[in-house]
This record gives sequence, structure tokens and C-alpha cells, in this order.
Amino acid sequence: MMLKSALFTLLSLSLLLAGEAKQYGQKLTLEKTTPIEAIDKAPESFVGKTVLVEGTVVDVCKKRGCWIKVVDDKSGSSLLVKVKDGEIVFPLEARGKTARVEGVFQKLESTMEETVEHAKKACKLEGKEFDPATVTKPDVSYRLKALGAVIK
Amino acid sequence: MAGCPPAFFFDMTFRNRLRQLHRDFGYFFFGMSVIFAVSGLAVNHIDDWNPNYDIRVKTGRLDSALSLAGPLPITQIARSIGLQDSVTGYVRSDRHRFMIFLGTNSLEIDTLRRTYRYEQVEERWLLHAFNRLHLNELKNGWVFFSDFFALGLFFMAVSGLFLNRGRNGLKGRGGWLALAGVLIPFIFVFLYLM
Repeated sequence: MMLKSALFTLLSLSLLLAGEAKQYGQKLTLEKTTPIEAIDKAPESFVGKTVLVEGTVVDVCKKRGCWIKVVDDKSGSSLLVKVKDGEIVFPLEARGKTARVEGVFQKLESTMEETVEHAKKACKLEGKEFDPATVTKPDVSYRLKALGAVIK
Repeated sequence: MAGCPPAFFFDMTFRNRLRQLHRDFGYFFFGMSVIFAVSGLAVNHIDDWNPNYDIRVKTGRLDSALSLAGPLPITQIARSIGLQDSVTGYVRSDRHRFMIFLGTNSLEIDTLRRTYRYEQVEERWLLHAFNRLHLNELKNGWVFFSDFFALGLFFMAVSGLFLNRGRNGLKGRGGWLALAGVLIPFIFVFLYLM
């Protein structure tokens, strides 16, 4: 009898916790969200700014939980959210959930050698053969360096 | 000095006490040592394999009979691929791509190329738990216990030097082994980090 009630309490508690929002890193300070679509359309104007974005988590770093890809449900625009390894660890279970992330928007400019290395790694991951002719210029990418996030 | 026990008496007592403490710390930290050793091995090779999840990927082309023009026929797509998982949600992830969530598994549909990528994720739960403990994901109270473990390891390392005396002790073979163990990390520091 006692075992049954303990199991019931545990189950109820886990069900309650399952739907609960989870905080990662620092607490969010901004209230107004910036649409991911707006950032996607004019990334240069957001570089260095602290923004709060909201979207669905479509992918998570499967080895270290050190990044998530957040998508704006309406436009399909996406944003890569990166955290310092170990400081915040996003669980794989975050996929499909809604994330509110606050962070500093960054521009990353790779050298030609780095771009070639990235392309080689990407081909290896996808099981494709790397063709050096496909890399014509150094890569420029943007990401949000997350300070804090809430996922529910 | 009259009335004082001989020096070897203190020496014996000190070593015996050290042995007892070393032994008890060893017993107490047996579990932690195993967790950190297993997780250490797993995380050392993180570039070659995923120590937290077993991920299987299945790719292919969508059934040509499926119409992708209107609202995405998620259930039909999942069935045509032979998936039994229940759909928990979906989102447009790109101009021509949709991500369908099936619990922890996912199915990405490219409507332009009419291809799919199904990712089946199985957690290596014990190893994942070990790694999370090792990488201090839990923070709070766990930090205190793992700090205690770190101090315990330090104590065991230092006390281990003085457990034996004679030719197997610090002045003999033990000393040379300890020196070799200290030199190896220093060689790596000089070769690769300076």
C-alpha cells in the first residue's frame, strides 16, 4: 500500500515537472522579444546587441548540449544559439519545445582554411565526398551567444 | 630522552593510521572512482562516438503518391516510412523543410527534394548519468560532494606515497614511479602547451 502511494506521488511529481519551464544559465532580463525573422533579414544591424528570441527548438548538440537551433514557427527562419561548453547544457529532450533565449548576437568570420576544414567536417558527417571547388570564399556566420534560456 | 617512546613508535603509528585512512577513503570513494573513470574514458573519446545517446539515422525518398502541396500529411508520411512513433508536434524548419517531433525521435522532411531523414535516439542512460555527474551538470549540492571527492583523491594520492617504506617506498621504486607519473603530464605541457 505504502509502495503504491509512493509510486503514485513520484509519478504525479514527474508529470508535473514534465510540463514545467526549465531555466538554464542566467535569468532572463529582457521582456520584449526580437523576431528571429527580423534578425535573419538584417543580421548586421543586430551584431553586438543583447536580444531575447523565442522559437521552437529543432536541433540540439547531441554530444555536449552546447548549442541549439531555434526556429521561428511562422517564417521558418532559424538561429543558432551557442553556449560556452559546460556552462549551460541543453538536453536532447528540448527538441520540439519552445525556447526563450537571451544573449548577445555575434558575427563569426572564418579564414579560408577554417572554412575548408568546416566543409570537410560537414561532408564527413553527411557521408559525402568533399569537393574543394565548392569552397570559394571564407565563411561568415551569425549566432546568439546565450546568457540564459527558458525552455518549456 | 628518558620516558619518551622510540622514534619508530611514532613512525609505525603514523603509517598505520595513514594506511587505515587511505583504505577507508578508498572504500568510500570506490563508487565515485568508478563513475569518474568510466565517464572519463567515455568523454575522452567524444569526437569518435556519442557517449550520451545512441543515434540511428534512416534517410530515403518519400512515397511519390504523397501530396506535399497543402497541409503536410504528417501521419501518412510517418506511416509510409513505417514509423510507429506518435507525433508530438511539428514545425517548419526552413523554406522547404519541416521537422516532425516523435517524442525524442525526429523526422525531417524536405518537400522540395521529397526526401526524409529519420533520427532515432536512444539514451545511454547510465553512461549519460555518469557523464552528467562527472561534468558537474547538477551543480548545487553535488559540487560539495565532488569537491570532497577531489580532496579525498588528493589525500589518497599524497598518503599513497608514504604507505610503504624501504626499497618499494618513496626512496626506492615508488619514488621513481611517482617521478615518472609527474613527468609525463609535464612533457605534454612542454611539447604542446608552451
